[in-house]
Amino acid sequence: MNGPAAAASPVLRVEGLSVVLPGPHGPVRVLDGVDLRLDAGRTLGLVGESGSGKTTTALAVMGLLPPSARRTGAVTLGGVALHTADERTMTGVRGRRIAMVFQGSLGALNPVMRVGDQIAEAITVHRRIGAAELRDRVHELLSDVGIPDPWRRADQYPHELSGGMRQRVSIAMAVANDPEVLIADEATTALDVTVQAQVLDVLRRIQERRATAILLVTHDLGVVAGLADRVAVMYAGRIVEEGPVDALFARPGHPYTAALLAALVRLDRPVPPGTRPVAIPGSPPRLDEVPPGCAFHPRCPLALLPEPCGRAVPEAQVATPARRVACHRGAEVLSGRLDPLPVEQRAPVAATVVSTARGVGPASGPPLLEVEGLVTVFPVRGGWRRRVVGRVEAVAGVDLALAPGEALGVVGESGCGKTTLARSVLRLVEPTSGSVRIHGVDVLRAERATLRRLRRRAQIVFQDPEASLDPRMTVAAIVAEPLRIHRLWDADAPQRVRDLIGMVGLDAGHLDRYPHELSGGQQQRVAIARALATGPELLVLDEPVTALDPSVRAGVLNLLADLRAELGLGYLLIAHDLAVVARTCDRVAVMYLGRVVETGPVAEVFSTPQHPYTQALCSAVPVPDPAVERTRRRILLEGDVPSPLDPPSGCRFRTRCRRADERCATEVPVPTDRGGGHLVACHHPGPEAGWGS
Amino acid sequence: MSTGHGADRRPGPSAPPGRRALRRFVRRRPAVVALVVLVLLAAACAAAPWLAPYPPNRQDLLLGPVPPNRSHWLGTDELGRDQLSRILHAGRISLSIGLAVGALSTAVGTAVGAVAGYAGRRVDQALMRVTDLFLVLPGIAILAIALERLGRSPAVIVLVLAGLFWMYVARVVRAEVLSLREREFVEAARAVGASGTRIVVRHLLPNVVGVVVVNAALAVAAAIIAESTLSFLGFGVQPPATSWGVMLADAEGYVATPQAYLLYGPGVAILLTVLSVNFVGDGLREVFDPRTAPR
Repeated sequence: MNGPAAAASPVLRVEGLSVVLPGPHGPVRVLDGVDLRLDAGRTLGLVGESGSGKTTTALAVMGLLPPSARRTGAVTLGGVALHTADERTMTGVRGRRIAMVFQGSLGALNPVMRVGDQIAEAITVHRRIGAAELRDRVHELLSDVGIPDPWRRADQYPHELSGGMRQRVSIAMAVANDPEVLIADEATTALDVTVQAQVLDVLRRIQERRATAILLVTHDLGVVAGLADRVAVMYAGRIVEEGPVDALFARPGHPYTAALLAALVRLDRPVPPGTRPVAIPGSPPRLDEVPPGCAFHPRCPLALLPEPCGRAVPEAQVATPARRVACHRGAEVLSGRLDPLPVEQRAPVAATVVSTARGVGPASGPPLLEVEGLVTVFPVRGGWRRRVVGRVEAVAGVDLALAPGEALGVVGESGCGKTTLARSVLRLVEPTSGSVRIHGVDVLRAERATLRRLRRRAQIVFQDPEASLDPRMTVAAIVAEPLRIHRLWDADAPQRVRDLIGMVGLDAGHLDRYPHELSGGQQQRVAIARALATGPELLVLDEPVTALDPSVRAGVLNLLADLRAELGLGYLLIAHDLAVVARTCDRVAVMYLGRVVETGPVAEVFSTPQHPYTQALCSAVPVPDPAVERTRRRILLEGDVPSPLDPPSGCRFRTRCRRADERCATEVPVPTDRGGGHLVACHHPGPEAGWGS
Repeated sequence: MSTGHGADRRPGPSAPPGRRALRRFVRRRPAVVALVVLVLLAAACAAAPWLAPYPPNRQDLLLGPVPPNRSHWLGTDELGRDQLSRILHAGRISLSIGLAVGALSTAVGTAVGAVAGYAGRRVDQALMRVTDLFLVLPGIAILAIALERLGRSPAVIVLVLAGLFWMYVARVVRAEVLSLREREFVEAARAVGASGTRIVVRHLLPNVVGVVVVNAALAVAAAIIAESTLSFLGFGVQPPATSWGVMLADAEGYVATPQAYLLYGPGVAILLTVLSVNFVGDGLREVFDPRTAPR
């Protein structure tokens, strides 16, 4: 991304930045000697997992650390030393020369102020400006960030805008005074992929037009690939690697970067059969318990122990003029003499595992799960008598079938009804009509006793592992509970609990722990063990890895694949992340506003999507490859998902579809087979090339 | 920023949860001290007939009010009655009313709140309207009528006070259960096939113990004070029986006189009790929450 200001002069420089925060057990060093350099008009991606210190870095640059924080090191903005500046100076700098966009777009806006007034305020706190000029400026900013109809939008309140719109308003506020540096702290993390693509596009355009330097703070390497010129990778409060985006993605110099990159799944290339994602063992350290020496050494396949990796903190070595790697073996890795991903991690799984995991098709045996015409409607209540004033069809007639041992992924954006579908199938919410059969037993008409028996055969794993475990129960009690409820508690039961814990990759030492004593990945493993306790045949996985750190995800996904192969489980996997489905599932169903628009084998649907929505969805997912990401054609969807209170007639996607015609408005498209079980519900199906760019 | 990533670094406490809870309580010095104070106080009051140096109602009109001295450690009142003896005897009534009201109102309030919060909809609406009704009742008037009709026994006082206190616990528990109910671990329990009763008893109630215990401690304190208000208005325990509240009320007139010492005995007794109950409640709350690390 070369902006107009191609001259490489640093606008923001961070040198030796360290931050110590008081903790319950003594001071905690959350940042340790961070060096960064951001050139004018360029983008620096700052990548790290939760707790790596990336947000603290951003806040330290802004001078927004809590008063109890002790900061050392230098922060220089265009020749002005910010680390010695007093609060008055900083107030003049913030919002005028450096501005920040936060993750939560609803929390960042004042709910009782019109958005136009909020943008105006961002301007008027820094300079005097006439009322007419101010109004024009606000409208100009709103259209700059791609908000249609800015005159009307300026008079609206934040809750009247969609999440994507609100994030654009935040960006408009941030760039209101043409800052030299824009810090985007996980600015697109809470957004759906299609909306994320829109917002990233806005950032790109802003940078081209105003030559703003962007510090892009994120955990998502895919986002970085498309937008950043340089990338800095953080781990446990230190920069472990820094370099130009292409070189770093092509040849990572730090084993951590290499592992993060290898753990990513690319949608533009099908997953080679039989390969497994690389799982980094363990989880990122807590900042009050950073291992001595290189903080990554307990998880590192290359660590030389005890010397030097376990003892000495690696200095940032300047490998090539443009790259720094803080690894004792970084030089060897960069020169190609050492492979950062050892052979056993990249080896394909045993042939037997592969055949069961990927070879079970819908043909084998009667279906495990059959869903027909499922409709789930939520009443919307209003007024003082709480009467029903509207209805939301969260699931609006869904048909699905799942063979024993098969994995079906359900993808879609927030509000498409995929989670309601998952809960309806298990009758955790009461569906309105249609039928769900598990092994031929009707779930929706089941009596209490039948339902209880069904609960043994079909289990669910939730998104947030911490919330899904009772904080007052030990791991042993949590895993044992299903056995007790179903009166399966006998002399062998304690051994069964130990077996289950072993099966999910934990050991007996975890049994007496409470959920809060475990890491996110371990918590999710406990939740999986609980789901397996009664020996189910069907697991509903509702966003099973979304809440986990990227370096932990691959391990949990591998576990799920192994369990499926060993136990012959059927999975109904709900995910917004297409890569998770591509990696784990045989087939996929794409949902939009309560309906399945396309379904078929994973490889086929993702490589040659036939429905315009699937095409947009696939194209919006960032590809973790800078060269591809910069050049590839993107289908940006216009506008937002319509309100489910008042869905469009006919095809629900037609309001945002470029192929829509009159027929789409009147006739609901019926799923038709395009060959090989690839069903598309569209009046004008066809591959992407068939329509204009 | 630094939560939820403790991998295997914390040494695993291996004792069963019950013993771990006990160990956690014992490590909380203030709570242990408070519990000891409370037990001693209760024991002393229970043993009042044997411990008290004088009969509580023996008057010595010739002696009159004397400040604390060697034979009357806390002095005597205007009728020459020994203050220490009276405090010990009064404590039997005050403590039992306080603890009984605390227990009863907490039990009723927790049950109502949990059922309302978990059942939702109509049941919730109905129970909460009843709760609101009790909240707006003119408490003192109700008390007066009830005590006139039913007699002025301590049991009636306990019932009436509990009837005036349970709503606060109910409201807090309901609010807590409403938010807990939406958590995924409750849904996970339902998915496993747990019944409503099991969810309330095994998953919801243990998670509201914290607020319940704190509220119970407040209720004990409030009941002791409320009983004194009642007695002051003439509806409480009747002479010759007495309570800390009554003694405090009787001594009120002496605030700025040489006989101000009459306030100290009952005042300190009430203060000690309320403080102790609060500290014990605080300790219990932490014990029931596994997230508070053992210190």
